[in-house]
Amino acid sequence: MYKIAVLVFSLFLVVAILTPAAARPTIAQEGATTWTCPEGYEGQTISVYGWATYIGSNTIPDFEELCGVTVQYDVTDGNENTLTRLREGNPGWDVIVITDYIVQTMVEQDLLEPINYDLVPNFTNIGDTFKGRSYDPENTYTIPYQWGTTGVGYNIEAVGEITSWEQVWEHDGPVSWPEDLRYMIGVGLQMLGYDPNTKDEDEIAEATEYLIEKGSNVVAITPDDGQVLLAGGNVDIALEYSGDILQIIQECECDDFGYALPEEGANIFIDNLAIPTDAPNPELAHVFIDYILDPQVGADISNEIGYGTPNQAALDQGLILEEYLNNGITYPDEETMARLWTVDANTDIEEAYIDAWDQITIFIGQ
Amino acid sequence: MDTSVASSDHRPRFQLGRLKLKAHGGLLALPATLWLFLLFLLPLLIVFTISFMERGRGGTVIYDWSLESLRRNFHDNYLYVTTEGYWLIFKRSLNIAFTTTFWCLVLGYPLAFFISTRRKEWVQKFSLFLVILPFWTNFVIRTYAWRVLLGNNDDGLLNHTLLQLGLIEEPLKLMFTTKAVTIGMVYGYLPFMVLPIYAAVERFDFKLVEAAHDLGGNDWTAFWRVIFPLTLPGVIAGSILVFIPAIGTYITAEMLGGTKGMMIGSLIYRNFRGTGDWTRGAATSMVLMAVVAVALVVYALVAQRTENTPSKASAHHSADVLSRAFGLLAAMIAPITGSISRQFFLLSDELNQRRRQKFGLSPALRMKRDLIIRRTAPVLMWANALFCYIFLWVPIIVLLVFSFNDSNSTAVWRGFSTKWYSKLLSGGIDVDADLTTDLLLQSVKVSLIVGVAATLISTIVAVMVSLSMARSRFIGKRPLEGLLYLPVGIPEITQGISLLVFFNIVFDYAAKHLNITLRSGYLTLILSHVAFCIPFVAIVVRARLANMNPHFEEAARDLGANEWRTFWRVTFPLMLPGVVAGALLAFTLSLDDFIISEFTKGLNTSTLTVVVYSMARRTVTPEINAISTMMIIVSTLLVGLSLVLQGRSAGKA
Repeated sequence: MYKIAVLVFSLFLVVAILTPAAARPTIAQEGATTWTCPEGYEGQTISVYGWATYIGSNTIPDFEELCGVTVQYDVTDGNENTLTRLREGNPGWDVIVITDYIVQTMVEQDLLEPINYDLVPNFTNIGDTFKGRSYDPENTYTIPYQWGTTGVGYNIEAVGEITSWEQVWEHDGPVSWPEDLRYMIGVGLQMLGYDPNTKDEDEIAEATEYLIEKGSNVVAITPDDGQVLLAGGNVDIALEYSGDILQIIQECECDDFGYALPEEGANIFIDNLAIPTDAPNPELAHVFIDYILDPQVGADISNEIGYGTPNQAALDQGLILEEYLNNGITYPDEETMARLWTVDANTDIEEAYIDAWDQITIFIGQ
Repeated sequence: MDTSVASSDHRPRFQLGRLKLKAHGGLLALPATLWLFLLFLLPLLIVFTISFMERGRGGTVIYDWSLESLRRNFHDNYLYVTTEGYWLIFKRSLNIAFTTTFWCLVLGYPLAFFISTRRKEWVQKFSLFLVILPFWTNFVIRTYAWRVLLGNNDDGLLNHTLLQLGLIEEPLKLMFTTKAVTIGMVYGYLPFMVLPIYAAVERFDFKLVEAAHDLGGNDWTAFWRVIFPLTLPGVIAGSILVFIPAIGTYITAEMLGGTKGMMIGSLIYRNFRGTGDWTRGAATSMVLMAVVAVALVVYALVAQRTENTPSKASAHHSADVLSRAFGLLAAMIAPITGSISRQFFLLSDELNQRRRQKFGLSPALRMKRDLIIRRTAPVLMWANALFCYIFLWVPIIVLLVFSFNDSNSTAVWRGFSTKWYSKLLSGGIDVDADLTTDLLLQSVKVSLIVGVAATLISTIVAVMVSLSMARSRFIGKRPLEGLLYLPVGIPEITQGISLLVFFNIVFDYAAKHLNITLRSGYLTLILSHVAFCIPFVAIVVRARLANMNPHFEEAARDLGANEWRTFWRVTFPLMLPGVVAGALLAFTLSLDDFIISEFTKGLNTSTLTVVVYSMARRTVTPEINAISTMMIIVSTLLVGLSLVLQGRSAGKA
C-alpha cells in the first residue's frame, strides 16, 4: 500500500509538471496596432472579469506581449453575479465588464474606483453618443466597451421568420431565455404598454404574471449560453444578445439561424469597462483600458465577437469590416434603433424586480 | 441508546492503551474539533442567524437583534420560502431524490449481490472495479456526457441511435425534463449505493441460508428473514449516501433539467451567486436542512430497529458506523419519536401477521414460487448486472470516442484525429484555443494542489481524532461524535454557502479592524476542502480501527515496547490500509467537488470541476473529452495498480 500512495503522488506530480503552459507564439493576424505600452510594467499581472466569448482571441496575448505582463481573464455569469461577488469583497479583479443598468448600484455601494483620465488618452476615440449617458453622466467610473441589442435568435427552419414577440410566445417548441432579469421583465412591461423601467410595483407584478403565462414554452433559463442550445438544436428560439447569435451564424456557415428585434421593441445595451474598488493593480488596469480603446484593437475585438463598437475613431478609419456594418444585426438601421429601449438603474425598486424574477424562474415553463 | 455511539470504548480490549492515552488522548481530538467547529458548525450558525435578519438594499444584510425584528424577519423569510413556488420546487427535489434513491437501490442491490457472489476473487475485484472506475472521473464530465447522449434533436446520440434502428419515429424529448435529471443522478450516485451493500453482502455468511433451509424456510423466507435483514445496514448507508447529495444537487439539475427540472439547489445558488439575497438564501437552506434531517431521522429509526437483530456479520463495518452516526441525530429527538416508532413497528408486525393469516400461500404454491425464484433469479441478476455495466460505461465510451473527433462537435463524428490531445499537451499551440487551454491546465494544477494538500491534512487530522476516539475518554466526547459525523448529513450546497458567508465576514472584519485585505484563494479552498473531507476519512479509519485485533498491541507492550514504539511498529502498520483508503476517498471527494469550490475559490484558483462546468455550458469542444479521457486513463492505472499490488501482498500472506 505504501507503493500505491507513492505512485499516486508521483503520477500526479508528473501531470503537475506537464501543466505549465508552453510559450505561446503570438500572431497578430489582424491589423497591427500602433499602440505602445508605457514603460515600467514588465512582469506585473492584472485580472479581467468579463463575459464568455466577449473579447478577441488575440487581444490579451498581444497586450501581454506589448507590455510584458500577464493577464488573467475569467468569465462571469452575469451582472448580478459580478455585483454579488464584488460585494463579498473584490476577489482580485482589476478590470470588470458591466452593463449600463448595474453601474449606479455599484457606485452607490462604493464598488467602483473613479477613472484617472490622464492614464487613458484614448478616451477621445469614443463617440459622443456613448459618452455621458445617464447611468454615469460624467463617465466618472465607466468607459464604454461594446454595445449590442438583446433580441430573438431563432432556427429558421423550425419557426420561419420572426417579427413579433407574439410569435415567440406562441411558438410550439422549446425556447430559452437569458438570465437577465431587468431585460426580460422589461419585455413584459413593454408588451403590457408600460415603461420597461417602471417603478410601479403593481405593473411589475402584472408583467410577472404576463411572462409566466407567455413563457410556457421555455425549457431553460441560461446564463449567457442560449446560443449554444440554439446551435445544438436543443431549442428553436433563444432570446440572446446580438453578437452571441451572430457568432453561431458565422460558425455554422449556413442560413439556419436568424436574429430579430421584434416590432414591439427590444433592448439596447452598452457594456462598460470599470475598475473595481480594491483592485490590486489599478495603474496597469488603466493602461489595459487605454489599449482596448485603441482604434485597431477595438476594431479587432468587434470584428471577432460581432458587437457594435463605441469607438468612433475605428469607424471613421474604416477598420470595422463591411459585413458587420451591413448585416442588419450589429448596427441596426435607424428605424429599428428608434424602437429600442435601454434598461435604467432602478436602485429604489431593485427588490421588487428581484422578487419578480424569483417567481418567474420558478413558475416558468411548468 | 448506546447504539448511537461507537461502542469500542466500552470494551476492555483497549484498557492498557487507555491508561496512558487518557492523559493526552483528548488533545489528539483537538485539531479536528477546532477545524470542524470553525469551518463547519460556526458558519452554519451564522447562516442560521442571517436567516432571521432583514434584507438590506442591494442584497446586503441588516443586523437587528430586537425581538420584534427577529419575529418579523422570521415571518418574511421563512414564510416566503414556504410559499407555493418554493414549495413546488421543494416537492420536486424530494421527489427526484427519492426516485433516484429508489432506482439506485433497485439496480444497486442485485448488482452488489452479483459482484459479491462471484466465486473467483479476481472476477469479483474486476466487477467491482468496473463500477468504481466511472466514479473516478469528474462528476461534471460524467453529467456532461449525458447532455450529449440525451440531446433532443437527432444529434443527441440516444435519439440518433434509436432513430437509425427504427425503434422510434420521432426524437424522444428527454433533455430538460425531470427524467433526464433522474437518469443523470442515478448514474452519478449508483456507486454510493453499490459499495456499502457490497461490503455488507461480502461479509454475509451464506451458511446462515443453509441453516434457514434446514429449519424449514424456503428461498423466499430465507431472503426476507435472513439475507435482507443482515444486509440492511448496507442498504441504509447506501440510501443515505445517495439521498443527501441528491436532494441538494445543483449541477445535474442545471445541466439536464432546464426549467422543468429546477431543484432547490439552484434556488439557493441563485440567491447567493445571482441576485445576492443572503437572507432568503439562508432561510431556504435552513428549510432544506430541516427536510434532510427529517428524512435522516426516519432512516435512523429503521437503522435502530435493525441493530436490535443480532448481526455479528455486519458489525463494525463502515456502513454500520455511518448508520450509528445518524442514530445520534435521531437520539436528539428520540424521546418523542422512539415511542412512536415502537408503536409503528408493533402495528406493522401485527398487520403482517394478519395479512399472512388471510392471504398466506398454500405449501404447494410456495414450492412453486420457490421453483420460479430459483430458475429466474440468476438470470435476472445477470441481466441486471449487464444492464448496469452498459449504463455505467456507455457515457464513458462515448466520451473516449469523441475525444478523437476531427471536428468541434462532441456529438457528430467527422473522422479520427489526435489534435485535442496535442493541443492540451503542448499548452495551446493553436492560437484560437489559448484562453481555454490555459484555463484548463491552470485548473488542473489548482485541483491537484488543493486535492493533495486537503488529502494530507484531512488524513492526518482524521487519524488523530480516530485514535483519540477509540482509545481515550475525555469531556465532550459525545458531542464531538456528533460534530464529526454531522457534515455527512448536511447538503453540500448548505456547506458551500455557509463557508462563503463565513469567509466574507472574516474578511470584512480583517479589513475594518485590522486593516488587512484578505482574499479567497488557495487557503480558503484548502481550509474548506479539509473540513468536508475529515468526516469521510474518519469514518473509514475508525472502521479499520474497530476491526483491528487488539492482541497484537497488548503483545507488543508485554514484550516491553513503550507506547510510541507500539504505535509506530504495530498500530500504524495495522491501520495503514484504512488510512490509505481514507486518503484516496478524500482525494476523490476533493477533485469532484463543485459547489464548495465555487463558493470559496478566489481569483485564478478555479478548480477543474468549476472550469469544466463553465466550459461545458459554452465552448463545447472535444478538448473536454480529451482531458477526461486522460483522467480516466490515470484513474484506471491507479486502480489497476492497487488491485495488482493488493493481489500480490495477499498472495504473499
